[in-house]
Amino acid sequence: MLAVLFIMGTLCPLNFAALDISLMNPQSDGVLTGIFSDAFLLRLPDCTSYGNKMANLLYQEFSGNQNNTKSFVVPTCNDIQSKQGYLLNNLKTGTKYSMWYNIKNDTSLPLTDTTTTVSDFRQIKGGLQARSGAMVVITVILSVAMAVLLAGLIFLLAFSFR
Amino acid sequence: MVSKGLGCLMVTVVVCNIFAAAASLALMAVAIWVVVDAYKLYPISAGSGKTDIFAAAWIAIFTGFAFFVTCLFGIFAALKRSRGLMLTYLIIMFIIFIFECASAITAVTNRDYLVGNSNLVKQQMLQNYAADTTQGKQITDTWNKVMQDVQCCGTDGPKDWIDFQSTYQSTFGTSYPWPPNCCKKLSNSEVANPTNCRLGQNTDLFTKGCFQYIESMLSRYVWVISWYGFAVLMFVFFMLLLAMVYYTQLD
Repeated sequence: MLAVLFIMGTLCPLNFAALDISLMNPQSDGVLTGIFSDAFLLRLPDCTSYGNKMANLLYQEFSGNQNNTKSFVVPTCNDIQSKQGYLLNNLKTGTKYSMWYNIKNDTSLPLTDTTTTVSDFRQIKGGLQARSGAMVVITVILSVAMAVLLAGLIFLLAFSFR
Repeated sequence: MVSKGLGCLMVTVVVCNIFAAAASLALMAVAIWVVVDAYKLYPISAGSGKTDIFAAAWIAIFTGFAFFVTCLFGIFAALKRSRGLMLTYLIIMFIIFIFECASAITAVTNRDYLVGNSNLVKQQMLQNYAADTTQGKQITDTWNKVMQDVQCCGTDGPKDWIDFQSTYQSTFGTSYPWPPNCCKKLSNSEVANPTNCRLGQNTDLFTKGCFQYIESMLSRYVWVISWYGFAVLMFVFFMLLLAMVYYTQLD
Protein backbone atom coordinates (compact mmCIF):
# COMPACT_ATOMS: atom_id res chain seq x y z
CA MET A 1 0.00 0.00 0.00
CA LEU A 2 2.76 2.31 0.95
CA ALA A 3 4.67 1.43 -2.22
CA VAL A 4 1.58 2.18 -4.33
CA LEU A 5 1.15 5.57 -2.70
CA PHE A 6 4.84 6.30 -3.18
CA ILE A 7 4.70 5.46 -6.90
CA MET A 8 1.56 7.58 -7.34
CA GLY A 9 3.29 10.46 -5.60
CA THR A 10 6.27 10.41 -7.93
CA LEU A 11 3.96 10.40 -10.93
CA CYS A 12 2.23 13.59 -9.81
CA PRO A 13 3.48 16.60 -11.83
CA LEU A 14 5.09 19.45 -9.94
CA ASN A 15 2.59 22.11 -11.06
CA PHE A 16 0.05 20.67 -8.62
CA ALA A 17 2.23 22.17 -5.80
CA ALA A 18 0.31 24.89 -3.88
CA LEU A 19 1.32 28.51 -4.57
CA ASP A 20 0.79 30.48 -1.39
CA ILE A 21 0.48 34.19 -0.81
CA SER A 22 0.59 35.66 2.67
CA LEU A 23 1.81 38.71 4.52
CA MET A 24 5.01 38.55 6.53
CA ASN A 25 4.32 38.78 10.22
CA PRO A 26 6.41 39.90 13.22
CA GLN A 27 6.14 36.65 15.18
CA SER A 28 7.33 34.18 12.57
CA ASP A 29 9.37 36.30 10.16
CA GLY A 30 11.09 38.77 12.48
CA VAL A 31 9.83 41.84 10.68
CA LEU A 32 8.29 44.91 12.21
CA THR A 33 5.00 44.61 10.33
CA GLY A 34 3.56 43.27 7.07
CA ILE A 35 1.16 46.15 6.54
CA PHE A 36 2.21 49.74 5.92
CA SER A 37 0.16 52.77 5.00
CA ASP A 38 1.16 52.49 1.34
CA ALA A 39 2.60 48.99 1.05
CA PHE A 40 2.27 45.30 1.89
CA LEU A 41 5.21 43.05 2.74
CA LEU A 42 4.50 39.64 1.20
CA ARG A 43 6.28 36.35 1.70
CA LEU A 44 8.11 35.24 -1.42
CA PRO A 45 6.88 32.11 -3.25
CA ASP A 46 8.54 28.89 -2.13
CA CYS A 47 12.11 28.90 -3.45
CA THR A 48 12.33 25.09 -3.76
CA SER A 49 9.39 24.97 -6.21
CA TYR A 50 9.63 28.37 -7.88
CA GLY A 51 13.25 29.48 -7.46
CA ASN A 52 14.63 31.39 -10.47
CA LYS A 53 11.19 31.62 -12.13
CA MET A 54 9.41 34.81 -13.17
CA ALA A 55 6.55 35.53 -10.79
CA ASN A 56 3.68 37.95 -11.40
CA LEU A 57 2.03 39.66 -8.48
CA LEU A 58 -1.44 40.79 -9.50
CA TYR A 59 -3.31 43.22 -7.33
CA GLN A 60 -6.34 45.43 -7.50
CA GLU A 61 -8.39 47.59 -5.21
CA PHE A 62 -11.12 45.48 -3.66
CA SER A 63 -13.82 47.86 -4.78
CA GLY A 64 -12.23 48.52 -8.15
CA ASN A 65 -11.67 46.44 -11.25
CA GLN A 66 -8.36 47.70 -12.55
CA ASN A 67 -5.79 44.90 -12.47
CA ASN A 68 -2.17 45.79 -11.82
CA THR A 69 0.84 43.55 -12.18
CA LYS A 70 4.33 43.58 -10.83
CA SER A 71 6.84 41.02 -11.97
CA PHE A 72 9.97 39.75 -10.30
CA VAL A 73 12.25 36.74 -10.37
CA VAL A 74 11.86 34.48 -7.35
CA PRO A 75 15.30 34.12 -5.74
CA THR A 76 16.77 30.64 -5.49
CA CYS A 77 17.17 29.10 -2.08
CA ASN A 78 20.90 29.89 -2.20
CA ASP A 79 20.26 33.58 -2.87
CA ILE A 80 17.73 34.16 -0.12
CA GLN A 81 19.35 35.84 2.88
CA SER A 82 17.35 35.50 6.09
CA LYS A 83 13.65 35.97 5.35
CA GLN A 84 13.33 38.47 2.57
CA GLY A 85 9.94 39.48 1.37
CA TYR A 86 8.43 41.29 -1.56
CA LEU A 87 7.40 44.86 -0.93
CA LEU A 88 4.30 45.87 -2.85
CA ASN A 89 4.35 49.65 -2.51
CA ASN A 90 2.84 52.81 -4.01
CA LEU A 91 -0.60 51.83 -2.73
CA LYS A 92 -3.30 54.08 -1.37
CA THR A 93 -3.65 54.66 2.37
CA GLY A 94 -6.52 52.95 4.16
CA THR A 95 -7.61 50.99 1.09
CA LYS A 96 -8.60 47.35 0.75
CA TYR A 97 -6.64 45.37 -1.84
CA SER A 98 -6.75 41.87 -3.26
CA MET A 99 -3.46 40.28 -4.28
CA TRP A 100 -2.42 36.97 -5.75
CA TYR A 101 0.64 35.36 -7.26
CA ASN A 102 0.76 33.86 -10.72
CA ILE A 103 3.73 31.75 -11.82
CA LYS A 104 3.33 30.02 -15.21
CA ASN A 105 0.16 27.94 -14.79
CA ASP A 106 -0.06 28.26 -11.01
CA THR A 107 -2.23 30.87 -9.37
CA SER A 108 -2.57 31.38 -5.66
CA LEU A 109 -5.75 32.11 -3.82
CA PRO A 110 -6.33 35.86 -3.43
CA LEU A 111 -5.15 37.59 -0.28
CA THR A 112 -7.26 40.52 0.88
CA ASP A 113 -6.05 43.14 3.31
CA THR A 114 -6.26 46.85 4.01
CA THR A 115 -3.40 49.34 4.21
CA THR A 116 -3.17 51.25 7.48
CA THR A 117 -4.29 54.84 7.93
CA VAL A 118 -1.89 57.55 8.98
CA SER A 119 -2.73 59.95 11.82
CA ASP A 120 -1.79 63.60 12.01
CA PHE A 121 0.89 64.16 14.66
CA ARG A 122 -0.88 67.38 15.65
CA GLN A 123 -3.63 65.23 17.11
CA ILE A 124 -1.28 63.70 19.66
CA LYS A 125 -2.24 65.13 23.03
CA GLY A 126 0.91 66.28 24.76
CA GLY A 127 1.08 68.16 28.01
CA LEU A 128 0.56 67.36 31.64
CA GLN A 129 -1.58 64.25 31.83
CA ALA A 130 -1.16 63.59 35.52
CA ARG A 131 0.87 64.82 38.41
CA SER A 132 3.34 62.38 39.81
CA GLY A 133 3.58 61.57 43.51
CA ALA A 134 7.02 63.15 43.67
CA MET A 135 5.68 66.49 42.49
CA VAL A 136 2.83 66.47 44.98
CA VAL A 137 5.07 65.49 47.91
CA ILE A 138 7.78 68.01 47.13
CA THR A 139 5.31 70.84 46.52
CA VAL A 140 3.25 70.20 49.64
CA ILE A 141 6.16 69.70 52.02
CA LEU A 142 8.13 72.67 50.75
CA SER A 143 5.08 74.93 50.84
CA VAL A 144 4.44 73.96 54.45
CA ALA A 145 8.11 74.49 55.30
CA MET A 146 8.10 77.95 53.72
CA ALA A 147 4.96 78.88 55.62
CA VAL A 148 6.43 77.70 58.93
CA LEU A 149 9.65 79.61 58.34
CA LEU A 150 7.73 82.74 57.41
CA ALA A 151 5.64 82.48 60.55
CA GLY A 152 8.79 81.94 62.61
CA LEU A 153 10.47 84.95 61.04
CA ILE A 154 7.46 87.19 61.65
CA PHE A 155 7.39 86.01 65.27
CA LEU A 156 11.10 86.77 65.62
CA LEU A 157 10.69 90.27 64.17
CA ALA A 158 7.80 90.96 66.52
CA PHE A 159 9.87 89.49 69.36
CA SER A 160 12.88 91.70 68.60
CA PHE A 161 10.88 94.93 68.30
CA ARG A 162 8.91 94.33 71.54
CA MET B 1 23.86 76.71 83.35
CA VAL B 2 22.05 78.99 80.96
CA SER B 3 25.39 79.96 79.46
CA LYS B 4 26.33 76.29 79.06
CA GLY B 5 23.03 75.60 77.31
CA LEU B 6 23.52 78.59 75.05
CA GLY B 7 27.05 77.42 74.33
CA CYS B 8 25.76 74.00 73.25
CA LEU B 9 23.14 75.64 71.08
CA MET B 10 25.77 77.84 69.50
CA VAL B 11 28.01 74.86 68.74
CA THR B 12 25.05 73.00 67.24
CA VAL B 13 24.15 75.96 65.04
CA VAL B 14 27.78 76.30 63.92
CA VAL B 15 28.15 72.59 63.13
CA CYS B 16 24.84 72.54 61.25
CA ASN B 17 25.95 75.52 59.23
CA ILE B 18 29.19 73.74 58.33
CA PHE B 19 27.23 70.73 57.06
CA ALA B 20 24.77 72.97 55.22
CA ALA B 21 27.64 74.84 53.59
CA ALA B 22 29.15 71.59 52.36
CA ALA B 23 25.80 70.24 51.17
CA SER B 24 24.91 73.41 49.33
CA LEU B 25 28.31 73.46 47.63
CA ALA B 26 27.56 69.92 46.44
CA LEU B 27 24.16 71.14 45.23
CA MET B 28 25.91 73.79 43.20
CA ALA B 29 28.27 71.19 41.74
CA VAL B 30 25.52 68.79 40.65
CA ALA B 31 23.48 71.69 39.26
CA ILE B 32 26.49 72.62 37.13
CA TRP B 33 26.58 68.98 35.91
CA VAL B 34 22.92 69.25 34.87
CA VAL B 35 23.47 72.56 33.06
CA VAL B 36 26.44 71.10 31.17
CA ASP B 37 23.98 68.46 29.83
CA ALA B 38 26.26 65.46 29.55
CA TYR B 39 23.54 63.46 27.75
CA LYS B 40 22.98 66.23 25.16
CA LEU B 41 19.20 66.19 25.52
CA TYR B 42 18.61 69.93 25.77
CA PRO B 43 17.21 70.25 22.20
CA ILE B 44 14.49 67.70 23.00
CA SER B 45 13.49 69.79 26.01
CA ALA B 46 13.75 73.01 23.99
CA GLY B 47 11.62 71.53 21.19
CA SER B 48 8.65 71.49 23.51
CA GLY B 49 9.30 75.10 24.45
CA LYS B 50 9.85 74.12 28.09
CA THR B 51 13.39 74.12 29.32
CA ASP B 52 12.42 74.54 32.96
CA ILE B 53 14.53 71.60 34.09
CA PHE B 54 17.61 73.51 32.98
CA ALA B 55 16.24 76.80 34.31
CA ALA B 56 15.79 75.11 37.70
CA ALA B 57 19.39 73.89 37.49
CA TRP B 58 20.61 77.44 36.86
CA ILE B 59 18.66 78.64 39.91
CA ALA B 60 20.15 75.80 41.95
CA ILE B 61 23.68 76.87 40.98
CA PHE B 62 23.07 80.35 42.39
CA THR B 63 21.10 79.24 45.43
CA GLY B 64 23.68 76.57 46.19
CA PHE B 65 26.45 79.12 46.17
CA ALA B 66 24.33 81.64 48.08
CA PHE B 67 23.52 79.03 50.73
CA PHE B 68 27.25 78.29 51.03
CA VAL B 69 28.24 81.92 51.53
CA THR B 70 25.34 82.65 53.89
CA CYS B 71 26.10 79.56 55.99
CA LEU B 72 29.66 80.84 56.44
CA PHE B 73 28.18 84.16 57.47
CA GLY B 74 25.86 82.26 59.82
CA ILE B 75 28.86 80.59 61.49
CA PHE B 76 30.36 84.03 62.02
CA ALA B 77 27.07 85.43 63.33
CA ALA B 78 26.62 82.52 65.75
CA LEU B 79 30.16 82.78 67.09
CA LYS B 80 29.76 86.56 67.51
CA ARG B 81 26.51 85.93 69.47
CA SER B 82 25.08 89.00 67.72
CA ARG B 83 21.32 89.40 67.45
CA GLY B 84 21.53 91.78 64.52
CA LEU B 85 23.79 89.46 62.54
CA MET B 86 21.66 86.41 63.36
CA LEU B 87 18.51 88.20 62.20
CA THR B 88 20.22 89.23 58.95
CA TYR B 89 21.38 85.64 58.48
CA LEU B 90 17.87 84.30 59.03
CA ILE B 91 16.24 86.74 56.61
CA ILE B 92 18.81 86.05 53.86
CA MET B 93 18.54 82.30 54.36
CA PHE B 94 14.76 82.51 54.12
CA ILE B 95 14.94 84.38 50.80
CA ILE B 96 17.40 81.83 49.38
CA PHE B 97 15.17 79.04 50.76
CA ILE B 98 12.23 80.36 48.72
CA PHE B 99 14.27 80.42 45.52
CA GLU B 100 15.59 76.93 46.07
CA CYS B 101 12.02 75.70 46.72
CA ALA B 102 11.04 77.23 43.39
CA SER B 103 13.89 75.38 41.69
CA ALA B 104 12.95 71.99 43.17
CA ILE B 105 9.26 72.35 42.40
CA THR B 106 9.88 73.66 38.88
CA ALA B 107 12.20 70.79 38.01
CA VAL B 108 9.83 68.04 39.10
CA THR B 109 6.77 69.67 37.52
CA ASN B 110 8.53 70.12 34.20
CA ARG B 111 9.66 66.50 34.31
CA ASP B 112 6.05 65.37 34.60
CA TYR B 113 5.07 67.63 31.72
CA LEU B 114 7.91 66.59 29.45
CA VAL B 115 8.31 62.87 30.07
CA GLY B 116 5.26 61.89 32.13
CA ASN B 117 4.25 59.99 28.99
CA SER B 118 5.71 59.72 25.52
CA ASN B 119 3.16 61.92 23.71
CA LEU B 120 4.99 65.23 23.83
CA VAL B 121 8.38 63.81 22.89
CA LYS B 122 6.76 61.84 20.04
CA GLN B 123 4.94 64.90 18.73
CA GLN B 124 8.14 66.96 18.82
CA MET B 125 10.06 64.23 17.05
CA LEU B 126 7.51 63.89 14.25
CA GLN B 127 7.24 67.64 13.84
CA ASN B 128 10.89 68.63 14.04
CA TYR B 129 12.96 65.67 12.81
CA ALA B 130 14.29 66.60 9.35
CA ALA B 131 12.68 70.06 9.57
CA ASP B 132 14.69 72.70 7.77
CA THR B 133 14.89 75.11 10.71
CA THR B 134 17.64 75.72 13.26
CA GLN B 135 15.62 73.95 15.93
CA GLY B 136 14.83 71.17 13.48
CA LYS B 137 18.52 70.59 12.73
CA GLN B 138 19.38 70.48 16.43
CA ILE B 139 16.61 68.03 17.16
CA THR B 140 17.57 65.91 14.15
CA ASP B 141 21.19 65.73 15.32
CA THR B 142 20.09 64.86 18.87
CA TRP B 143 17.78 62.08 17.69
CA ASN B 144 20.38 60.70 15.30
CA LYS B 145 22.91 60.49 18.10
CA VAL B 146 20.44 58.90 20.52
CA MET B 147 19.18 56.37 17.96
CA GLN B 148 22.67 55.19 17.10
CA ASP B 149 24.16 55.27 20.62
CA VAL B 150 21.22 53.60 22.33
CA GLN B 151 20.27 51.45 19.29
CA CYS B 152 16.66 52.53 19.26
CA CYS B 153 14.21 54.00 16.75
CA GLY B 154 11.42 56.50 17.20
CA THR B 155 9.83 57.34 20.53
CA ASP B 156 7.85 54.18 21.28
CA GLY B 157 9.31 52.24 18.34
CA PRO B 158 9.77 52.37 14.55
CA LYS B 159 5.99 52.20 14.09
CA ASP B 160 5.81 55.88 15.11
CA TRP B 161 7.23 56.70 11.69
CA ILE B 162 4.54 54.77 9.82
CA ASP B 163 1.51 55.35 12.05
CA PHE B 164 1.81 59.14 11.91
CA GLN B 165 2.52 61.79 9.33
CA SER B 166 5.85 63.44 9.92
CA THR B 167 8.09 66.14 8.54
CA TYR B 168 10.56 63.37 7.68
CA GLN B 169 7.90 61.64 5.56
CA SER B 170 6.92 64.91 3.86
CA THR B 171 10.57 65.63 3.06
CA PHE B 172 11.81 62.20 1.98
CA GLY B 173 8.63 60.37 0.96
CA THR B 174 7.67 56.86 1.98
CA SER B 175 10.24 54.93 -0.05
CA TYR B 176 12.25 54.60 3.16
CA PRO B 177 9.75 54.70 6.02
CA TRP B 178 12.17 55.42 8.88
CA PRO B 179 15.40 57.39 9.13
CA PRO B 180 18.66 55.56 8.26
CA ASN B 181 19.81 56.04 11.85
CA CYS B 182 17.22 53.46 12.84
CA CYS B 183 19.32 50.87 11.00
CA LYS B 184 22.40 49.04 12.16
CA LYS B 185 25.46 50.65 10.70
CA LEU B 186 28.95 49.53 9.87
CA SER B 187 32.00 51.15 11.41
CA ASN B 188 32.21 53.50 8.42
CA SER B 189 28.70 54.84 9.19
CA GLU B 190 27.07 53.17 6.19
CA VAL B 191 23.88 51.21 6.73
CA ALA B 192 24.83 47.54 7.07
CA ASN B 193 21.89 46.12 5.10
CA PRO B 194 19.58 48.78 3.61
CA THR B 195 17.24 46.18 2.03
CA ASN B 196 16.63 44.29 5.25
CA CYS B 197 16.26 47.52 7.20
CA ARG B 198 13.73 48.82 4.66
CA LEU B 199 11.71 45.61 5.04
CA GLY B 200 11.82 46.01 8.81
CA GLN B 201 13.87 42.91 9.60
CA ASN B 202 14.71 42.97 13.30
CA THR B 203 18.24 41.81 12.48
CA ASP B 204 18.94 45.20 10.90
CA LEU B 205 16.33 47.59 12.30
CA PHE B 206 16.38 48.85 15.89
CA THR B 207 12.99 47.88 17.22
CA LYS B 208 12.93 49.40 20.70
CA GLY B 209 11.80 52.97 21.28
CA CYS B 210 14.08 55.71 22.55
CA PHE B 211 11.62 57.17 25.03
CA GLN B 212 12.75 55.02 27.93
CA TYR B 213 16.32 56.27 27.56
CA ILE B 214 15.29 59.91 27.15
CA GLU B 215 12.93 59.68 30.12
CA SER B 216 15.51 58.07 32.38
CA MET B 217 18.27 60.55 31.50
CA LEU B 218 16.02 63.60 31.98
CA SER B 219 14.76 62.06 35.20
CA ARG B 220 18.36 61.80 36.43
CA TYR B 221 18.72 65.53 35.96
CA VAL B 222 15.45 66.15 37.75
CA TRP B 223 16.13 63.83 40.69
CA VAL B 224 19.43 65.62 41.23
CA ILE B 225 17.86 69.08 41.28
CA SER B 226 14.57 68.30 42.96
CA TRP B 227 15.27 65.44 45.38
CA TYR B 228 18.76 66.49 46.41
CA GLY B 229 17.57 70.10 46.56
CA PHE B 230 14.65 68.90 48.69
CA ALA B 231 17.03 67.07 51.04
CA VAL B 232 19.20 70.18 51.43
CA LEU B 233 16.10 72.29 52.04
CA MET B 234 14.80 69.96 54.74
CA PHE B 235 18.15 70.09 56.51
CA VAL B 236 18.27 73.88 56.18
CA PHE B 237 14.65 74.10 57.44
CA PHE B 238 15.47 72.38 60.73
CA MET B 239 18.74 74.30 60.99
CA LEU B 240 16.86 77.62 60.60
CA LEU B 241 14.36 76.60 63.29
CA LEU B 242 17.31 75.90 65.55
CA ALA B 243 18.89 79.23 64.61
CA MET B 244 15.61 81.00 65.46
CA VAL B 245 15.62 79.38 68.89
CA TYR B 246 19.27 80.46 69.32
CA TYR B 247 18.31 84.01 68.30
CA THR B 248 15.61 84.18 70.97
CA GLN B 249 18.17 83.11 73.61
CA LEU B 250 20.65 85.86 72.70
CA ASP B 251 20.74 89.14 74.67
